[in-house]
Amino acid sequence: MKSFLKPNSQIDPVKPSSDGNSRRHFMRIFGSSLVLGVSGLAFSNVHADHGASSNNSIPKKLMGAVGRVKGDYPESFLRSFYNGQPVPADALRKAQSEGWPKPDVFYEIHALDRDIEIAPGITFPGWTFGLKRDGDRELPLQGNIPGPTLRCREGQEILIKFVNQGSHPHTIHFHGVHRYEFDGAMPEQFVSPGQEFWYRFRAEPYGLHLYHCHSSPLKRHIHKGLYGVFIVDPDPRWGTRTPAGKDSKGRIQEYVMMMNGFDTNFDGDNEVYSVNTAAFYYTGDRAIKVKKNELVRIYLVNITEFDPVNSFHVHANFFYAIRTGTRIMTWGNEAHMEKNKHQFEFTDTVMLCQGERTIIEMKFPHEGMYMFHAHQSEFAELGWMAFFMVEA
Amino acid sequence: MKKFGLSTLVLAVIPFILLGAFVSFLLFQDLRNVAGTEFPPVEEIVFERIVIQSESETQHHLFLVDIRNDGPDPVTIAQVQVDEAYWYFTMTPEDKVLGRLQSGTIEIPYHWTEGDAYNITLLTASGVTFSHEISVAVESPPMSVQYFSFFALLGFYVGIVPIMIGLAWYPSLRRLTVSSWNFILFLTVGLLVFLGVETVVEGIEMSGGEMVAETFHPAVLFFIILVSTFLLLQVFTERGRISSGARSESGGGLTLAYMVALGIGLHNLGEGLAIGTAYNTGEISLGATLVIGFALHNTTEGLAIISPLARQSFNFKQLVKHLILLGVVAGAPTIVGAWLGGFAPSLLWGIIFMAIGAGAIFQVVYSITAQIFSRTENPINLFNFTNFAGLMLGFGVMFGTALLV
Repeated sequence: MKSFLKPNSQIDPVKPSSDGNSRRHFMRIFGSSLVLGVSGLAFSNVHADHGASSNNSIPKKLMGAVGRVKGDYPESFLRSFYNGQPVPADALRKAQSEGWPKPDVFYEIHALDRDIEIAPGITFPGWTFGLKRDGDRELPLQGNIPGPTLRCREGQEILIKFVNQGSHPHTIHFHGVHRYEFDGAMPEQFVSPGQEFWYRFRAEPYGLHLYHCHSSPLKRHIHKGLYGVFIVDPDPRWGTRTPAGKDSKGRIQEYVMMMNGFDTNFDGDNEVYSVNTAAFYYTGDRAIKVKKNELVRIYLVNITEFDPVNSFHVHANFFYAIRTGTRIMTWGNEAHMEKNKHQFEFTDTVMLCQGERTIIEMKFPHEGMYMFHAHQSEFAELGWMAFFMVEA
Repeated sequence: MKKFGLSTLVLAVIPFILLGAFVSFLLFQDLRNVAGTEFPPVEEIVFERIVIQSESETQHHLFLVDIRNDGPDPVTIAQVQVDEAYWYFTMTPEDKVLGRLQSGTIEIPYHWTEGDAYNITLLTASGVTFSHEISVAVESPPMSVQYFSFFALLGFYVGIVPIMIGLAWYPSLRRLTVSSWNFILFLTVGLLVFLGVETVVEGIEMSGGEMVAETFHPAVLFFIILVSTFLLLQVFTERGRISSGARSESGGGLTLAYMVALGIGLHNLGEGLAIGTAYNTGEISLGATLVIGFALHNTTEGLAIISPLARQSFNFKQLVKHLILLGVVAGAPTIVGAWLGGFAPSLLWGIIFMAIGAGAIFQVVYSITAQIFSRTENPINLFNFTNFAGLMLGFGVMFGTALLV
């Protein structure tokens, strides 16, 4: 646990102070460090069966990765939703010539080979999706894991230009309702390196979906990193989701979390687990800062390869799980929330198989650092471990 | 015959110059470019030693892991897992990069439980994994006076005392007829051949183990050292016989006895090393059965040492002196080996000692056999059931006592 902190926090909460009393030093430090330190203790107790001597000492260093992931993609991925770009002339021409309806939303997505740091110091030769443009803004187009979160409204006509700049045949296979030709799953639908392909469909049904490459071998194409989140917001005539709260920086508290894993030695078993790729990323000073009593919405998708299920567990709190996001929950008074409990799962742990997803809605009533992680301890200790920092 | 002059030297150096130029060319050219593709780096790490420590005033529970880069390319250790959980660690060298054949030490604070098994996995920067299984976690004995005296006592019990007891057969040996002496000598050959084969098997097992860098070619090294020890001892023996000349009749037996003691001593050095290392890594617990087994096994070694002396005459003082010396030469290396094993150096040293031991034992087998044959007027007579029974009994005794270990 210490190593979570060490690289991330300026102050080292468990390092003995000059007076040598590490316990007292411990108590002086407030907030993240304290709570993290205590959770570190909890972990140490799990192992403290060796003898009485261990009871009176606070372990200085414990589990976790050593070092700090260099990039900050997991941070930007967490809050980035892409609504498309102005439809370019060639896309309009393509739609016209094919007799497709005029697109409402347009994306240009590239498949790219790129090395990704998946844990401090460990690089994974990834296959990635990258977005060319967001609105009027040209993007660096370098590809990342997971790919960009695409977000649109139910009923919109979606057009996607897919360019394969990778080294293998790839596709984009969307979850949702669409015609066979745009399913991106059959061998004749594989897009060879250097080739491009157009995907067209109407965004339906509303909910929390995903997209991924469906080339063969499927296992390899998914676990190499070709996946992303696809959110279809409900048509207003069904209602709207309660707006999420805002954090201390005024950012909307809606987060995308894709539970994934990486098999670094190609033995068919993941060496690294995480949410949004980088192991132990949202820890220490990178914990996700949310505001007390303000609604938090998490778009949680499981894409973990090789393991039958993954899970999400949050500490010291309960949440509503809206499976596949295909229903709308509204937040209201106490009586209203009581009614919600009959309609929606109200829990602190949710289990998802690969490809399954759920919207999580919750409020934190207390300040402090709260862990969230896979409740498979193995996954947690292999990197799928993170924190919410709840502020007043 | 031509004189080996300066010109000869210059001519002999030319190939070296050419070779140097060729190597520089290869380095400059970089074959990777010629192949037109990037070869993925080859990463190989061997675990050479694991030290397990429990908490003390200055120290938390921890695993100390010595590793070596056994591959051609540099390897960066990025993360460490203990039982499928990322764990805090520190490493020397601090940059965590190991060049070819470079070794490093990883320190992992971990609250281990005695008797449990642990898996330590290292992940390199490219995500390649290397694992080592601690089958039974036992605290590695600290290098204290207590440790040294424990292994001194242990070595004394399994090395020196049993061999001394074996030496006590000496008076009865003196009364033997020629044919029963031959029986005893063949029995000795049986004992020694068993020991020799056992040493070879152990050495090969060590060589094939995962805790030795393959770059050192441990198995090849084992055989080369075995053969050269054999030949070197042969040279010494022959030289000794030639120089002692006429006295060979009386002195040959004693020399041979010392050779036997030396060979057995080297074998015991390797054995002690194995005991110390195994004890340190928690692979064996030294129970009474094991010690008794080793003791019985080693008693027969005493018999092997004195059998060449049966026709030798000494005065009592000389005799006692030689017997004690022989016992020390054969038995004391067990102690030294156990001590060395306590420092748990790389297993490579174990292999080297085993090879020397095997070479020495086979040389002694050769010497004893040669001695028997040279003393016998018609060597064909040696092939009889008595001698055959002696040889078989030698194997049998060793096999039986080895079952106790």
